[in-house]
Amino acid sequence: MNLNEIIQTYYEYFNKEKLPYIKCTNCGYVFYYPRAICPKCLSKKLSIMESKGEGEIYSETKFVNEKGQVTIIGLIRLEEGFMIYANILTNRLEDVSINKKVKVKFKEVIKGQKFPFFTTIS
Amino acid sequence: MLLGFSSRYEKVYQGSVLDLIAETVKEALDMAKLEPKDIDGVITTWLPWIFDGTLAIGFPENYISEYLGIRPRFTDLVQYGGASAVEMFYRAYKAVKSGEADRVLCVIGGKGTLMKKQLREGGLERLSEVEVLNILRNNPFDEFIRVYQDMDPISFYAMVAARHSKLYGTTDEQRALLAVQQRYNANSNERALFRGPLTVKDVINSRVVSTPLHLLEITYPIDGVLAFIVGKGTSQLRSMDIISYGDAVWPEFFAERDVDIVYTPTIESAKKIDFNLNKIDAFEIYDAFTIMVLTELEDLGLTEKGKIGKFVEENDLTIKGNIPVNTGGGSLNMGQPAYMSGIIILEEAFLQFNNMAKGHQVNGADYILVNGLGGWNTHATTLVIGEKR
Ligand SMILES: [Zn+2]
Repeated sequence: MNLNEIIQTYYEYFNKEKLPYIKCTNCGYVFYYPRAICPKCLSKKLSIMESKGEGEIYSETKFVNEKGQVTIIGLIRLEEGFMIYANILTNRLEDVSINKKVKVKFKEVIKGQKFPFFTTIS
Repeated sequence: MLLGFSSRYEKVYQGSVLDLIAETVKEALDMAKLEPKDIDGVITTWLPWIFDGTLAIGFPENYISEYLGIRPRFTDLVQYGGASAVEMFYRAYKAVKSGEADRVLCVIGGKGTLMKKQLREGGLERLSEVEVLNILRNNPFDEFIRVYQDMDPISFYAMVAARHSKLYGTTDEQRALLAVQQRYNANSNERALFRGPLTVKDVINSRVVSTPLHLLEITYPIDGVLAFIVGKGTSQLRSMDIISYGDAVWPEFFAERDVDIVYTPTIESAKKIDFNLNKIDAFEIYDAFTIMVLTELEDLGLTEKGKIGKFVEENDLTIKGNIPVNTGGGSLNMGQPAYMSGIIILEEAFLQFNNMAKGHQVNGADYILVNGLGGWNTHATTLVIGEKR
């Protein structure tokens, strides 16, 4: 697959509420941000995989956005070993801190296109 | 080697950036007793919006050379973000050493305040989010990053601060103490934008912009330009040499880094420094945020990773102290010209070395370490300057 095909596949996964990631079948490296080539070994033998969507907060920060809402942005380390930079959506701010468990939650942010977000696990 | 320099910093500059550039370059040339025709090298940097709110310029080196009537035989465009000023100085030095050019003019800065204005009021609103995204891309995965709400780049450094606290127990008070010590220096610097008494409590009580960072831990964007000339021959300035240097580039998006985000590329650039840090008389350390200075001081090797909180408590980092850091008050108190604090720390090194730091001069500033750090911890340039040996 070329890059545009991979990006298209990602968008399709998102709309099906599935979290994709890529595994290099040559060296085993696992990554999230879409590339048509492995950044460790330059192999094109890549498989698009589906993540369980569960992970831990690696770091996070809370701020008040332009609409006056408390917003959380963080780095999430998924169980499969890759990291995503995304918003954490929750009303339970006290549950949001480093090492706390989170799971993926999809939300339509651009018309017709969902994207992965994360939410706390009770 | 440094023949002349000049700068202009303003909270909001009303004229064109070309006016600011022309004035500072003229003053730097006057100090060096040179004319535009004597300049045969030009180095600059480019960030969107900094040249009068223009989103993109094709050839920034030509843009400046053309306006000032300079015909260079050597040009370079340094894209090290906030660290660009420091890297430009190093590249100009190398160009002169290797004979690529005899007198290199470096120009950096612009109107940082225009970006906010442009984003809020004009121009870009006519474009859709996707269009803006495609005009302005910082990495190949922008559409998978910018879809989220953040306070870029504050969010990244806030996450670094949060993680540093989680891993090592670094407190808000310890970060605040650094801001207080830099303010002490600013109080002796008549050019500082922010002056007046400041306590740890004041910093802690200032608004939390993005947890855990407070307003008084973050630089204020201003307009400004630094121009300097590096070249052969002598001038009224003290003979200066780059005694040791190192740089490092971490191109990865921070979510894909193999190293923990509490490390900066200074950990690599500093490894190339062959100079005893005990002999450094002043440290000019990139300070867009308090946490940057703290992590840089660790990565330079002044203390172990994770021990910086205790280090700032046990040492005096002011101009009267044992380890003077950001002797003019740093960018935290001078403001951040066009998003690049490297401008402030590099000029402060020039001032200290030439005994020109009016009111905030460190006695016997013979060896100065300058550490530039580019946005999201992507670029680091570490220099030790001193007299030719
Ligand atoms: Zn591979």
